[in-house]
Amino acid sequence: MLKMFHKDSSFRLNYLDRNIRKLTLSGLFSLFVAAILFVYLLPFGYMVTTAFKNRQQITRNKILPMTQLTYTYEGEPMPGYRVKSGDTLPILVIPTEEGERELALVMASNGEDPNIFLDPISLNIIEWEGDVSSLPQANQIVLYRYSGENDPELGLVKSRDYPVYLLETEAGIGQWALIRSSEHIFIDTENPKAGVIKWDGDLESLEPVPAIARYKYTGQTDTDLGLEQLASYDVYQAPEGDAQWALVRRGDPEVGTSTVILAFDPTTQAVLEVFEWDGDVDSLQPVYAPQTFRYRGRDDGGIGLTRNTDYPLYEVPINGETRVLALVNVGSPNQFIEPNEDEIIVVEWDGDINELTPLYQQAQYRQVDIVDRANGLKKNEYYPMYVVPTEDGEHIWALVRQGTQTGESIFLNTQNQEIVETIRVAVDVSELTPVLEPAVYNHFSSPVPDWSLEPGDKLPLYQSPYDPEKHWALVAGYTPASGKDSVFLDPDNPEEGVFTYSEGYYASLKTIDKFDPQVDNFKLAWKQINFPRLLFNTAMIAFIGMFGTLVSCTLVAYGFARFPIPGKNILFLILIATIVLPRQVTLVPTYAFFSRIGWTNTWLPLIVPHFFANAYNVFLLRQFIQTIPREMDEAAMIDGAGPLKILTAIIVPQAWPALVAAGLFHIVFAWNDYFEPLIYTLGAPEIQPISVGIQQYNFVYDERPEMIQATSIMALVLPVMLFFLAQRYFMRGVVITGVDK
Amino acid sequence: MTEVVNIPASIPREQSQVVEQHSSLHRQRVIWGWVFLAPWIIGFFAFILIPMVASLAFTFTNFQLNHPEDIAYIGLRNYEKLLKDPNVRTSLRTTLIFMVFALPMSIIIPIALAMLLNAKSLLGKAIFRTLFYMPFIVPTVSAVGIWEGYLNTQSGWLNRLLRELGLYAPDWLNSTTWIYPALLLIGIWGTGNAMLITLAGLQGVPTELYEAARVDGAGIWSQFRHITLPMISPVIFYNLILTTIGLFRYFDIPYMLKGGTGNPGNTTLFYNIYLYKNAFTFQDMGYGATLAWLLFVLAMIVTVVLFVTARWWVYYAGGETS
Repeated sequence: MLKMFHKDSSFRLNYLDRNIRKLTLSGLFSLFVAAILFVYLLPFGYMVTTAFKNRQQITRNKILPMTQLTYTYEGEPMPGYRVKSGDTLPILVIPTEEGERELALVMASNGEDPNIFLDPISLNIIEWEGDVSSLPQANQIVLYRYSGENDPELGLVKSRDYPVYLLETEAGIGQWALIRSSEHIFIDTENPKAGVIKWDGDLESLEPVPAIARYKYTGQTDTDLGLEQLASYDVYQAPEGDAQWALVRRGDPEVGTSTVILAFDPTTQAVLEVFEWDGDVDSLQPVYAPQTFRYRGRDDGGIGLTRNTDYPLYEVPINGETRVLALVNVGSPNQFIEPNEDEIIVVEWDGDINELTPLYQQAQYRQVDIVDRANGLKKNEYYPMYVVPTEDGEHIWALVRQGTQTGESIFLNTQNQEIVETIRVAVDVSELTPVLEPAVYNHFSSPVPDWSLEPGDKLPLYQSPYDPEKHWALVAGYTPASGKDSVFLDPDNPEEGVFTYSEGYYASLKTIDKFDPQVDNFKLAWKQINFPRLLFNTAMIAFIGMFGTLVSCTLVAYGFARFPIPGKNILFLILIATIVLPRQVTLVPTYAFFSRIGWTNTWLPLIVPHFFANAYNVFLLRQFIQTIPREMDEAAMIDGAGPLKILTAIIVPQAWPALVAAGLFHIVFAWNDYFEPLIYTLGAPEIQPISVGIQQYNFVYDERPEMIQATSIMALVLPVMLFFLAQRYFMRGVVITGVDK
Repeated sequence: MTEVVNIPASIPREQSQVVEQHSSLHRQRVIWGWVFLAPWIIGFFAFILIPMVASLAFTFTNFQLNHPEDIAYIGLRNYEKLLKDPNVRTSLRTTLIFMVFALPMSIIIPIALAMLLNAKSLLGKAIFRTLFYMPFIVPTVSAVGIWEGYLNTQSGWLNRLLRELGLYAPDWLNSTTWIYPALLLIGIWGTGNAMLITLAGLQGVPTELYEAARVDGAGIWSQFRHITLPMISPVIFYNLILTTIGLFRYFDIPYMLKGGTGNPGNTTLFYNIYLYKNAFTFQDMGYGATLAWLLFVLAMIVTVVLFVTARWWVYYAGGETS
């Protein structure tokens, strides 16, 4: 042959060529199948990457487990305090020259700096030096919720709360709600149907009724003691000690009930004891509910001021003088505020707005796109606008730089929004007509900072949008909707302080990440759901069941394959027909039976039935046994071997590929089986297999996808290893029996 | 998932070559035969026949698992309830509609995959075979966990890919429309076994048939249509029967995905989930058994219909029909 190839080299080339073409084709085809496989197994990629993530990394929307690098701030604290929206601050009563003021405490003094307070009305920061601990706390006052009909004349509005005062009337001292302070109108909270009264006394002399603090009980209901879950009880100071008492029930000698007291720790709110008390409730000192202020951002709800909103300025004649005020609400009266005061001072003016003179100011043009050093153009700068007369008519331009060395001023063409172009014109700027627009007050600035920097703070790092080599550390990030610019720090020069970035949303900047897989997830899952226990349970159920199914199915398959049983074919058909039977039909009585004999919450219902053969494996093994030549049985029989001896010495050694296949099928089945372990081990978590136990991460722990995946990977290891080790024999066992003989 | 490997429709005939001449030896072997069959016969009575009869008996009672002593004969009341129960109709319709979509898929995909894996020019067959089979070994709970994340509306890989391609990214698991495609996708992962059986069937097709066809000038499609399909039709039939039964008792995946709630909007209230709720959550075994028997009767009717149609399309090389 070789010689022939030498002689006919063209044939050899052809042959090689054909082989190469064949190989290339095979390679391409295999790549195609590999591509399908890749798509088919893509969810595994999700499984593996998720198993290595922590909760934060899952929310980060990156495919790999990446952690954003941080910069640890080491410098001086800035600005030292912060108030976040949603913070609840205690309100203290502070003595000032003008009288007492109720202010919310932001930060108590550390000895050097003054105390920081927030005015709940103007939202201004107020510093006060003194001892905070000596200040009385403002109490919540009792409010009366009116539930009758609306009466606009008296100012009664249904479902509105009115403050309650102790008022002395002819009927004695009672609790009255103040409806309208200007006319001293009160309503009796005990008897609102009786109508309102007009009280002649001095309102200043009245003290509002302080509200008694309430204790919310979260424990179990106890009807004997009158304790109800989630009920609130009035709080009193205990006669001795630091504990506080919640009055659960006031004793009534006529009914024969005793007073029930729940003592609790005021700091932890933990119940100390519940007891019956025979003292006098009226002798107890009530604990009043402290008043707090909940900061909800910088808007002022009082007159409807919205942050970062323009309010037009007007010249308003008030008491003979003309004041410049910002118009907030139109109505009668119109509401204005003082634009130049730190505090919000509301001025009311009753008149026709159209008669007022609006204030004008020179219009400004804001340029946001281009930095042009040569022409002095900066980003985000405001440039005053003028009407500039040129040869081809008048233009509205913004002045960038006045009178350069060449005598020309530099203007920006504001008409063309698309292209920012600078124009140099020699004009005298002082002669130009400025472009005017109505002046406004922008309600933006409020001194309440909502960020602070302290040494040790870890700041997430972003890539600078201007220089990819540079990192920025985020101090405070805001959404675009908040209208605030995000605050950054240069980690290379922290001493330079913070700066803001206004050209985009901070979250759209590139983050500086490092690959940071969470190997600990596996350790945690191992411990948290007691994985060794689950694995042991699963393996025991699977392997004992496998042993049972192999022994019983081999016996039955041997019987069907080799013995002359009358009606064998009918029996075999019945066996095959059981495959079609839905499990649910037999499930209910079988469950009832196992439950009756006390087998539920044990492994027995999951194991014992497998010792009684099943159609799939009997069929598989019978097919295989039939391929073993009968002559071998007969030879052994002649040597005096009995049926059992033939089974163990001849059939089993020959049939082991099919046995491996059947065994592996059972393992896979038992590993995945969910329904039966679920109903039979529902009440006994300590005997559950992995398939049921893993569900804890769905139901018990609050959805932990990373833990489910980590556990799943651990659960997969054993069956996949078994499949790899056994797959050669396994395939032979299946393939041979699968052949349609 | 079922532990299934074979083709019951082609049961080889008993081909005993041992001539049992000695009648006492014959009797002895008959006895041995019964002894070997004993485990299955006992199991058949204990775990199939008696429970079936008992289950039928339960349908005429108000048997409550938590109060077994209160069991009483209530006539046909469970059947009346069955006819009036709107959830039975809803859940049956859900199951049947899902079956209409899932059946063709679970027949065609294993054939397509097996054909690919059986191709002569495929390199590294063993590895491909193992990897395509692998999802079948994944515990169903894990598989559901994986798909839940993979199909997540926001962070799921599939939706990221769809968004990258500028396509519509549906809310797979919470939309009443998209939940079914999602369940179908998850179901594809369970086809490993059917693929293996089909592959075994493909390997059993004698190569001479293809050679003869090629000599006759038959193209690839013609070979597939006139040789492969008829030759593996018993395997297809087998897969069809098992998938049909499997879909009638479809439970694990929707139960784990939605905790048996039937969300979104009762779209995952499959018949078996409703059965499970009645029998095990409400402990109403009498009604549960009635529901189970309805399922059994329906599954039986469909199976018999399939068997009848098999005469016309399932081809047995040995000339046997069963």
